[in-house]
Amino acid sequence: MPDAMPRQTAAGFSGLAAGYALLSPAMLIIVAMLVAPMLALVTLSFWTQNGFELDTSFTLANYWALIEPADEPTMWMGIPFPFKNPVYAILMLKSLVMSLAVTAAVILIAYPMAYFLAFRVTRYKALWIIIITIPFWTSYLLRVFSWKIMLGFNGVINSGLMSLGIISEPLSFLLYNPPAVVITLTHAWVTFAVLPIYVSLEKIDRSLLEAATDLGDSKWQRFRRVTLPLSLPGTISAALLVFIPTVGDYVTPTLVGGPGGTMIGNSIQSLFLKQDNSPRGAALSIVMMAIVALLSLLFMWAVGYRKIRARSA
Amino acid sequence: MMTEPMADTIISLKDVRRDFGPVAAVDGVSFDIARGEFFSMLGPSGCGKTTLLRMLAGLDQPTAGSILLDGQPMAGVPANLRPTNMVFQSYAIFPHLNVVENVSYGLKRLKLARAEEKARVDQALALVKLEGYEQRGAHQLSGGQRQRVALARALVCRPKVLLLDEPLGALDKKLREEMQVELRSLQRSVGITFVFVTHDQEEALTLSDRIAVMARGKVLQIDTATGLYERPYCREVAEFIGTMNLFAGRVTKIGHEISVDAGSIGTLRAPASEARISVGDAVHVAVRPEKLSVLTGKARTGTNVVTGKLVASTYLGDRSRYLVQVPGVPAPVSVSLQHDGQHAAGVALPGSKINLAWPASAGIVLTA
Repeated sequence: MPDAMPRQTAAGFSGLAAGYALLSPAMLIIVAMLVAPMLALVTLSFWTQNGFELDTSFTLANYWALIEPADEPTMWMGIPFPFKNPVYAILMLKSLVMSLAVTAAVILIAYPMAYFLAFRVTRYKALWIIIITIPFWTSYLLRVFSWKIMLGFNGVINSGLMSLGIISEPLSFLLYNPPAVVITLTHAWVTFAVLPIYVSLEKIDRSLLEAATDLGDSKWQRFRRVTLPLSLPGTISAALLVFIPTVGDYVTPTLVGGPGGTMIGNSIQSLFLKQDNSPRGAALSIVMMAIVALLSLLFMWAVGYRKIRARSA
Repeated sequence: MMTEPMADTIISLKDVRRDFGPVAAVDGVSFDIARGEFFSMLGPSGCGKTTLLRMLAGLDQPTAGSILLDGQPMAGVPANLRPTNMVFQSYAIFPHLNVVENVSYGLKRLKLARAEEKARVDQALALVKLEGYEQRGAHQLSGGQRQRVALARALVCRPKVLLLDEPLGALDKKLREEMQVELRSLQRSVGITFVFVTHDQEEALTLSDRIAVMARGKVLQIDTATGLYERPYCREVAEFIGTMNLFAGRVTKIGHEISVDAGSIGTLRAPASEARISVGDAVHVAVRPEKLSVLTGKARTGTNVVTGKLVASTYLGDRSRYLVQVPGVPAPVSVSLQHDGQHAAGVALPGSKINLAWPASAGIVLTA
């Protein structure tokens, strides 16, 4: 807002103008870094790549290519995929399943950590939070590589087991497969999940827990009837925080996934960079985003997120 | 202090102690509470009353001593298995549940038939006058309604003892007074023993059958409202309950009356006390503001008279309040005069000399 503006007028705009003023840096960044590229991506998905040229006439062919039916369905894991290019649908399904596995594993690990932090730690809470975030002081790539060292053919687990005489030759199923991707992603995302769960647990009024006990609940009943429902908003945010970005991840599958561990992100990357078909890559990205958004909304609707939020407000 | 067993005791505390590190929050407390009694624990914050209540609930454990509840020793019995229920200071209404779900919370483990559970919840809601609010969410309730939900939620479990931790503290004055009346009639109608914790002496006096006045983890006196007001054991109780004028002095004679030499004021007389007093002891002669009168003529025999200067007078409609500075007495003497025709309003002007009198029988000798 210009300084020359009279005070009274500024006060007339009141909170709204001040609010937008405060938001404007973030809004600018969002517009420049998110909205504009998204619009570009949507536009691109309606174009066609002709060698080095982009044909800018409108077409839905890129989307059609993703779902074009075939006479003979391709079987994968016993599921028929009746598409001409079944790899997209297969990778999409596989990515979703792997992401769900990651999300489930992250929540199962993060919830007890957050619970411990919220209810058992009474002193040095900040120190505990710092300790939990220590792995994040190193780069993501280094953390992924450290899992290669852990799980590799001559890695920590294999050489450890061999020196203990439990196995005679290295296990080859540890690395370069979907479970390795799930393990690595789980480790990478646990801390992100701990914090929102911790906040929602920390917010719970301790007298509610005493009231539940006073009304006859055992510790487990109290957890199930009071603690868990009241920490659901944070747990749901944590789950979405992990699920949404991991579906599209391509770095981890590239490094530890091997040929069997590829995900939809790898396919998009390949379309953009190797196959020089960015319009189809754009279409695939948009379809993936739509599916993830739809699933997230479905999930929130299924757990009654709105109701929970309204009540805990 | 009351130590002899009562006819029908529901709670019996023996030398109960609770240490928090080097601090004794509750310092060797023993008393009994009778079945069906409305019992209050009154004292300033930090006097140990809430700790004592939490130990009754099982939410805190005594460091030493024993608690008997309906004859059963409570040591080792966890809170969820005790026949007590509590109304928390913050009400602790479950925010994710509506009124019915809150009230029926403690009934779920009883696995009652649906119709019976509903009947009990309806009855509890009717008791606290919350019919029609069944489906309201916790966040849609006012402070008074939350308080009623908390009461219903505890009462629906039919506890042997209902524990109330300053339940009226968060309400505004008018609502608090309404709830006091309701709470008292509710207690009479359900017949459950209420143990009520408060720092508000007026609240305790209005509600309770008996009151335990506490300070520094100890019980100073347990008595009825009248007993506490008319016959306080010590200076602390006397000053905590209502206003009390104190005149320091030394005992000079003990007969059927006690004579106290109060220095420049002269000799004051007071009725013989139950407390052990011997000649030469430093004591206070205590007298309530409403026992004092303004002396216009000559003093009758058997009357204590002090002379002072009127500092302030406040007209309060039905009565006037005088503050009189008496030489040799540190705090101004407080006098409450009823406007019953005998004392006309606004007679004395500030600064004027005034004689105050009270019959010897209206005073109390306090040792501490």
